[in-house]
Amino acid sequence: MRAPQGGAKRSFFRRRKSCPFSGKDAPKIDYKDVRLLQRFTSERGKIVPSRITAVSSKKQHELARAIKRARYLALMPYVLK
Amino acid sequence: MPLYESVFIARQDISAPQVDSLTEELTKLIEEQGAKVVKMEYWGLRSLAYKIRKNRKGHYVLYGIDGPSSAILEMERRMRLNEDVLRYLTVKVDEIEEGPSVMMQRGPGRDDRPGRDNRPGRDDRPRRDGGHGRHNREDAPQADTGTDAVAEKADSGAVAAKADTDAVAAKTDTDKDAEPAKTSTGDDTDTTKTTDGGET
Repeated sequence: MRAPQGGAKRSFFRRRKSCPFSGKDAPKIDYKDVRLLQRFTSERGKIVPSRITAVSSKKQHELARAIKRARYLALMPYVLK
Repeated sequence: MPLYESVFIARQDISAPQVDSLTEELTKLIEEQGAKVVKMEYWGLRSLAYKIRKNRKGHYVLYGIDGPSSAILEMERRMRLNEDVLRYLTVKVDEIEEGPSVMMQRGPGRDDRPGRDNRPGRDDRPRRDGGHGRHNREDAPQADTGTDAVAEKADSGAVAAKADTDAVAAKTDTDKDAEPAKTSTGDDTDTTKTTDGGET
């Protein structure tokens, strides 16, 4: 997400978002913290892509793993209808 | 020795004391294998996000284990054999968190679904109601909630009426302004000046 975005030069300027899991008091990614994980899933239960949530790729990997673990333990749904 | 975190889900039909005996049994087994149970948490009967073997709910138990992998293998084998255990997950961790995990902080036995249901309620709705309450207090302090709504309506109506009259007044003003302006276009610039002065 460090690279300047394509649309930045063309008239409208989009603020670069920072990763919600980096920084000082960033939350720890944990499969048990369902409320946190739920913020990164869509209404249907899909994992939201990092280009929308601005999670860094390293943390996105961690996040995806945590969500999949939570799903396995039935803490989170695989699919929501 | 490596640290592990293990969660298992027990069937919904067994009672809490039965879960306790099951956890004790497993703890004993783990310790026999030369491992130490660093942490034990019972999350209570939580509703599952989806049905597992026709169970809609399950007893969740978390272990924090410090011991050899052979102990974990044996524990998992035992869990597979036990029909009361719906599912288990063992994860190797760098460190076992001290103190209660996130699950316990939220209160044991509470489901996840209510948490979701609370969300929309927690958003803007209560605040909006509070806002209304404040307005009503200013307008009519002694009124009930039912009459509040009526009062509000009446207020809004009055406001609307005021707005209408204002608008009409504004229109008439503009008309008045416009007429001399039209006339002034034909006349000299001096006349326009005088009309302006008269208005002010």
